[in-house]
Amino acid sequence: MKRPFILILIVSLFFIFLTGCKKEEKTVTLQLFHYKQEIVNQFADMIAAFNEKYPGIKIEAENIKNDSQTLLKTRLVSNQAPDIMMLQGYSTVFEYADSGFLLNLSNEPFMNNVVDSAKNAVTYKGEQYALPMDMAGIGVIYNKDIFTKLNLKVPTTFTEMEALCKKLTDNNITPFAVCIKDNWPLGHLFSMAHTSLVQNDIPGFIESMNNGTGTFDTPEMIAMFKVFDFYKANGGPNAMDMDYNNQTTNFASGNYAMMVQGLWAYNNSKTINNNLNVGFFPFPFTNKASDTKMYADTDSTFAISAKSSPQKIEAAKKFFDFLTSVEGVQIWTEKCKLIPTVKGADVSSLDAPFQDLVKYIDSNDTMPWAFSIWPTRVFEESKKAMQEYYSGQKSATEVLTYLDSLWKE
Amino acid sequence: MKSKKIFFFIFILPALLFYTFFFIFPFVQGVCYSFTDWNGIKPDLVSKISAADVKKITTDEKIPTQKRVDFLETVQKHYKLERENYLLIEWRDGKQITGSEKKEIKSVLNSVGVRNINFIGFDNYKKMFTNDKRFLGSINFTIFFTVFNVLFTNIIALLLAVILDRGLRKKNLLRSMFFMPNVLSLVIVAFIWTFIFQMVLPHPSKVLGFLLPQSAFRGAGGGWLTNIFVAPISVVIVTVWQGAGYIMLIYLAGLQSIPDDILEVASIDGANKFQKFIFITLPLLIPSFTISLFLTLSNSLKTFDVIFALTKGDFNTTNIVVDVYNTAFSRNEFGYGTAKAIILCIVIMIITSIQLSLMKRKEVEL
Repeated sequence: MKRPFILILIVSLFFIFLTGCKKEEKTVTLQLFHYKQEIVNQFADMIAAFNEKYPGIKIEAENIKNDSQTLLKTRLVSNQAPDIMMLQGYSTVFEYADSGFLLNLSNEPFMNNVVDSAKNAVTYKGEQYALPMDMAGIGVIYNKDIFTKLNLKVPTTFTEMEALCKKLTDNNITPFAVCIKDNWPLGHLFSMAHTSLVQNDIPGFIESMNNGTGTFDTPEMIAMFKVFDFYKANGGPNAMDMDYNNQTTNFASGNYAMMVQGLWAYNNSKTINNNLNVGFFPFPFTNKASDTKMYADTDSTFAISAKSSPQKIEAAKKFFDFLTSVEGVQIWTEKCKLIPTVKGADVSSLDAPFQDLVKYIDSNDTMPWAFSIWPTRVFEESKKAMQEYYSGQKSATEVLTYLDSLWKE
Repeated sequence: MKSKKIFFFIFILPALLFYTFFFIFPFVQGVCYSFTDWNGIKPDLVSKISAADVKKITTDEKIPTQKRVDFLETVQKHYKLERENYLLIEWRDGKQITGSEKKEIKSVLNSVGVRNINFIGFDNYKKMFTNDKRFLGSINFTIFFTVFNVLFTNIIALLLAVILDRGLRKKNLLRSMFFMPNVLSLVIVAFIWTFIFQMVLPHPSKVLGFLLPQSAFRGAGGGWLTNIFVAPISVVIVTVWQGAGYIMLIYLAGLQSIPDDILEVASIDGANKFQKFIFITLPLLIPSFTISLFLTLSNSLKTFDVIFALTKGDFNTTNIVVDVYNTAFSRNEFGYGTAKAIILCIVIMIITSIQLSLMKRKEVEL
């Protein structure tokens, strides 16, 4: 007697579940995936402001800080792509666009609001697949208080940099807060040095590497390893042991004058020591002052999944419209504290080092992030190879020939 | 009897189902991927075909006419032309494309050679042994790590077990203390030890001076986790510290199951403590050795978390698993990474089965 009753109960419960799953037709829910941990709350404000305008569109933002690309990759492959995803410019965008995951945005009106120099990072075979969101710079973050106290000037050549570090060590201040135990900043250092040699001819260099005539192994690049040695030698006695956390904490302590990093590290140090008085300048790798340029480019971009339903795609486009509108840009600069890529944006609310960066961008004293254009495996291995150089496993020539051989594969 | 067998089968069925879905199925899939050049991103079904390619295929005389007609029909039905590319139509009248439709399209495209994932035979397997220094280096470290980890974990665990079996005061407290590291998550263990290595311990040149020549510390320098000669040792130290407690429990259980009367008889016969340990305790402990060696051996061959959390595999501490991770996820060579993982799996199976059969032969029955 009991059994049929239980069966009926289970079946009816099942149907209740089913009806519970049925979505309300009117609101569209978008999933948004981003990896910038420093703007989690600020970005929630952005979405709230958007919802005031478009109450019918709900955005569920998800922030993944560690290994976000691996997670995103598995989702894309298993057909669970988020509707809007934050991607690193250049190779990631290109790779996903090539696989057909990203919606072509070339003809969308909001792309007209974006400055042209930011679009290289999202343009694959002449079409634009993502919306550039922020510009970032990699260079030398320096402690202005130490510089004014010792009456130091921002160096524009390597010789000046050497003199500066000499003066700092004489005054018992470690010149650089370094990060060698984590190897990713070393990849930036390496590619930055290389780009300062190649200058504007990056497409030419890529071309020559692809057809097998180019090489990393030039006398000029070998000479750069003296700069790398200099960097480590001026990083204090335990330079090898320092990871990213140590680096930002050390810099925040005020006992270190500079750190070679992307400007994102400034935010980390700022949370530790709010009184930091900081500026930003490009690292001088050579003695030609005109070649010392800021390593700045589009950092993050937003793309729409090509697999989302037409309804969701329309909603996502509305969100992108909002991001590039005056209101959206204002939240982006004032709350998220990131440099917008939108034409004529007001950046006066940004902190001093960001203002420095904007100055370099405005005067066109920048070079693009070449590492984003290199094949992924070459950039990944350049980090490791540089660390192996520092730990004595590879010589300068070995590093360069190894990267050459990787490119040829 | 027959009904008994059916019951056995029914009882293992749930476990078997899970095992099939979560182990056997992915494993077979992995074997398949290991013969391809998949980069880990490209979807199974080609979602973008350039118009030039479509034209080339439809006019290719070498392909049978029927296949070309089918191909063109499929492309026109399921793809839309956008400038120079045909893009897969994902949504039609508010409905997403179904799995069976995808399968159909895929088989048509495959028949004319349009595919994202190419079968490349044993190329991956050849490459790893001929043209991959990182992989060969990772084999070296895996051997180093396995040998020392198995050796020291077992020696220390046995030592602790013997001491605890003596009936010390505060025995229970000590036992839980030794077991404690095993309860902690490996990532936290690595975090604690990074702190100890950096802040507490003196520089390795002062501690390990007897083991390594001073020249190892000059040159590049570096501390416990960043000197290429010291870092492998540090990783072993942490793993032994973490794993010994668990193995100790196995030995302790083995020791406590040895009947007292045998030992008593031996002492009446005039055996001293050392003789009793060598000739009675150790042989009777062999079943514990079997299981402990098996556990430590297979665990050390596939360690990932400690190494990744301590050094990320840098400074000469990349083992095969970390190398697999790097290949598949940072260098985007998924097929190649899977091939390496398959090789590792085969090696683990061979080594552990040899070990088990050797040890089983030595076990004595009371």
